[in-house]
Amino acid sequence: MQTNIVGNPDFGSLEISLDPGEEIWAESGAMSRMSGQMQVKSKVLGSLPGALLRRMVAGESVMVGRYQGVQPGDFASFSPGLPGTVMEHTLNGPDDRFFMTAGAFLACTPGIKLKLKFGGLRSFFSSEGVVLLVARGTGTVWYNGYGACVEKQLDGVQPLVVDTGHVVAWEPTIDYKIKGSGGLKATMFSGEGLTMHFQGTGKIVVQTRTPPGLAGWLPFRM
Amino acid sequence: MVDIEIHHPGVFAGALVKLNPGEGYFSDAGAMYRMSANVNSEVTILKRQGKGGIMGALKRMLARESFFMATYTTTDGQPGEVGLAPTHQGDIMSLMNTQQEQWVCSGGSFLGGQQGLSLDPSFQGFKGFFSGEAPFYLNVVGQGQFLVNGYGRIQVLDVTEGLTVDTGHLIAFTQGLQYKISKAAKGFISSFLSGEGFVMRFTGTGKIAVQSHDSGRFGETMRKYMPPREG
Repeated sequence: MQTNIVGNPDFGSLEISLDPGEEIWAESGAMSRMSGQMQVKSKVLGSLPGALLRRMVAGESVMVGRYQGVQPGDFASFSPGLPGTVMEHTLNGPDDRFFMTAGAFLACTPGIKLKLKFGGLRSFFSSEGVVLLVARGTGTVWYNGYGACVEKQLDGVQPLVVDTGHVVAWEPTIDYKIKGSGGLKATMFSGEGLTMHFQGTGKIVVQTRTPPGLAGWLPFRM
Repeated sequence: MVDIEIHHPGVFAGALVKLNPGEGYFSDAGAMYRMSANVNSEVTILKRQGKGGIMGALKRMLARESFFMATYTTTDGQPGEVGLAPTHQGDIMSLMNTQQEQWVCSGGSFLGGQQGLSLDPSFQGFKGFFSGEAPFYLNVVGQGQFLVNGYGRIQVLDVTEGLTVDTGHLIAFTQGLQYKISKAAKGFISSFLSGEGFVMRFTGTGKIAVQSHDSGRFGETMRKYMPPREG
């Protein structure tokens, strides 16, 4: 399998070529083009009843498309629904995990287990969505952010404060707390009061723009 | 040969058409964003040759067969410039229509073309409905240069052994190719669960221009975040 990320940071996409029998899994609807012989199947994330429940509760997509090469030289291209940056993360082993916010997942190699996970009570305040996607196993995941993506390596000492909505993905070796900065009034009226304080040793990826930000900005101009 | 410069390729591309005296260029009437003072713009309505009967009327209704087009020429025997840009973000590409390579553009992708070319809106049959695209394409007729715009990056792919394109990513294709609208996977259930639904399967030999992103999916994604419309 050969993979290539093209078009960052404006219109990032993932281009792949597959040998016969090789497979890639991708976000529902992300395929933009592929060679004529490729096989397409679909797969449920986790168990079907659980997936349907999450769909109803969180409105998350519960399916991935499975794209399998048939002839030598078969290829496909995948793009996120929003313009922005496509990133890559390698997972090395059955206990290696990577957290992505809902909507950030683009594609993965088939060895990866994907599970949706409730982010807990604090996630209701984070505006990152209440559901996280956890990738686990050996292989590669590709994910996307709206805007440019900034990758930070935390050293276990210095925390990173991120405005809610800007988090894209992080390693499970770091964790966050929701904190209010300023008083209750400032928090309620500024929309800037709640921040996520990440601490630990590992990687975190943030995006320079947020879709809810655009959605809130645009209607006043329409 | 009209001299064209594509400026700021990428997210906010624009095209600058340099008109020599006696040359003309046309575009969708809304695409012009700047021009020299000596350029005259004449708006015409592009119509297909009328076909009678109920089917003819139905096709005209469905295919939105009239468009306002503007034709730019200089009035004083001096050269002039016309700047053209699409409404949405994305790139612009220049293509040539020749006897060997005759292009068919999807509805919103044609930005402008050299005078002498003409556009023939062609009804694609009811398969157009299922493609999720406007059920019409523009046959580019004649020989000359023209511009297409895309949501995202534009790539031209050579097709010899078949290509499957998601319906929201098609910009244009050459006439040596045929396509069928079909399910992405073998079964109906898999097709829809894979999220692709219907795709266009091209066969034959030719070229296809595709855009990296799908404005329809952008809209769908953003709609989840937008406040509900009032009224």
